[in-house]
Amino acid sequence: MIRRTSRYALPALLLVLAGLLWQHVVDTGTIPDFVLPSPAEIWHAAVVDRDLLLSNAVPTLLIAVGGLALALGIGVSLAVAIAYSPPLRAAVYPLVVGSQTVPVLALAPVLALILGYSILPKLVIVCLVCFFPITVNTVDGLRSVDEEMVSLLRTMGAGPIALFREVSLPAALPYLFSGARVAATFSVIGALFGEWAGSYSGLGYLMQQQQAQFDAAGLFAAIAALTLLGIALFGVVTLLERILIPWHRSAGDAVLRGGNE
Amino acid sequence: MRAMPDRAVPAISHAVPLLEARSISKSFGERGQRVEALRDITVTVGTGSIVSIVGPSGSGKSTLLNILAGLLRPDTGAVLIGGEPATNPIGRTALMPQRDLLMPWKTVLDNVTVGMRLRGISRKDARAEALGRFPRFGLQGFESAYPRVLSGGMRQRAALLRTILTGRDILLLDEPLGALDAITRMDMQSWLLGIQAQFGKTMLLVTHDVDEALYLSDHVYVLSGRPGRVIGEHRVPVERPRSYDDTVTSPRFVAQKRQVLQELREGSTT
Repeated sequence: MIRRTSRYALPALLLVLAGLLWQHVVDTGTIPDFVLPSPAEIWHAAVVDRDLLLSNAVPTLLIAVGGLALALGIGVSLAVAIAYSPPLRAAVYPLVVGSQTVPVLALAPVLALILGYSILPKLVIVCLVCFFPITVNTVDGLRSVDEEMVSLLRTMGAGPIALFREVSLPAALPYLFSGARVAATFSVIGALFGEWAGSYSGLGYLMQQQQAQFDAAGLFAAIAALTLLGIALFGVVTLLERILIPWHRSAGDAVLRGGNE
Repeated sequence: MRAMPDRAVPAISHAVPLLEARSISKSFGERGQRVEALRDITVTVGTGSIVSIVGPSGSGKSTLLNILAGLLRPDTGAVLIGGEPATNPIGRTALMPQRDLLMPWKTVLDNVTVGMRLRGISRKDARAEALGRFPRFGLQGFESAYPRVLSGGMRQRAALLRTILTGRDILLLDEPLGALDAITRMDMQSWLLGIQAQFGKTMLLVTHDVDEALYLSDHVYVLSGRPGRVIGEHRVPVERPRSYDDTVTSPRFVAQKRQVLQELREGSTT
């Protein structure tokens, strides 16, 4: 069994080892550093460009969080409709699944063309990649309701609204959060796609500039910043989950706590 | 096998039974492959008494409770409460299902008060009344705990407290102690008798444990295997309060147990 102290130590050790190997490969000239910058160069670029990275991380974060919030609202509403209305389920579910086969990367420039360089097309992209795991999980949660528990509450005089409030909703919340955690990691990627399609700010915009200047180290620093954003959003959703559904211990929680309950 | 009691003149009659299942039959499934669950079941439960239904698995005991609770409609027959036919008995009785069904997302206190809250009682009043009952139900100190930390016995006591706090006079208990180990179960049986005496509730309980049925009840019905029919009725003439050891070792108890076991054996092979 893994000890609690090693919850961050093991992945950190692995990361350091990989970094050392990477540094070695670049230092010995096996791969030229204008193709693959070394970790030390990336770190240097991150330190030099820290203001640039920070100021461009803000719009990207806003897009990711805004799109995620939008996806939560739409995703949960769709889930309720799908779970409770057989005609809606028949009509909407195939479209929901179909929406995921739309190549978002190709759709982004089209949306930018229609909606301009504003935040709007980016929110739509993030929402499109994020609502699916939320909807699918929440539908599963709403359907996982214990029928016997529903029967018992009916004998106590519960109507449909009380049943939803007392049983279905709390039963579905852990599922909803599972979906939201996946969506949180997707949201940063969605924001990046949106920015690539047309923007004047954000990490996606910054990456395009760096690419044009062959600034490989800066590019990697931006990627690292994006990764940190994704991890932070995952952590926030998991934290919210722990606060809002304290009776439930989730997989995300286990990651934050080191995976050894 | 014991002769079927004459339906027109029940073996033991209560002046006005608080709860009565009258000639109830119920089948499930589609035409062609219908499964007959209950056939012409008549059970009466007098006010303030404890009545048990024993029967093998598949004798439709839970189905009968669900019909009495109003969750299922009988094909034929009727449910009478206080002598009046209850066309929709839902909410007239308090059901305690076999599984405790405590909601994992509610604290113990919120779980046991759910029935009161659904009846429109304010959170404050519901909590006040429930909290006063916690010591008697051995749940003190666990008010704000989640059910996952409770032991099996505590879960059952919490489920029973929830059932009692619904405020109904009639409790329908489906194998209330079935999930417990033998020792806990014995303790809980005596405790259950004390609770019944204290709250003056009328109880109909389903069990497959003959000892439990005879020890707890004023009246025991024996059901056959599928389709469930009443194949035996026994009055248990032991005064209350009953001591467990004295009761279950008395010659009369043993003789009655032998008879019930014989009925069960014959009933499950027919």
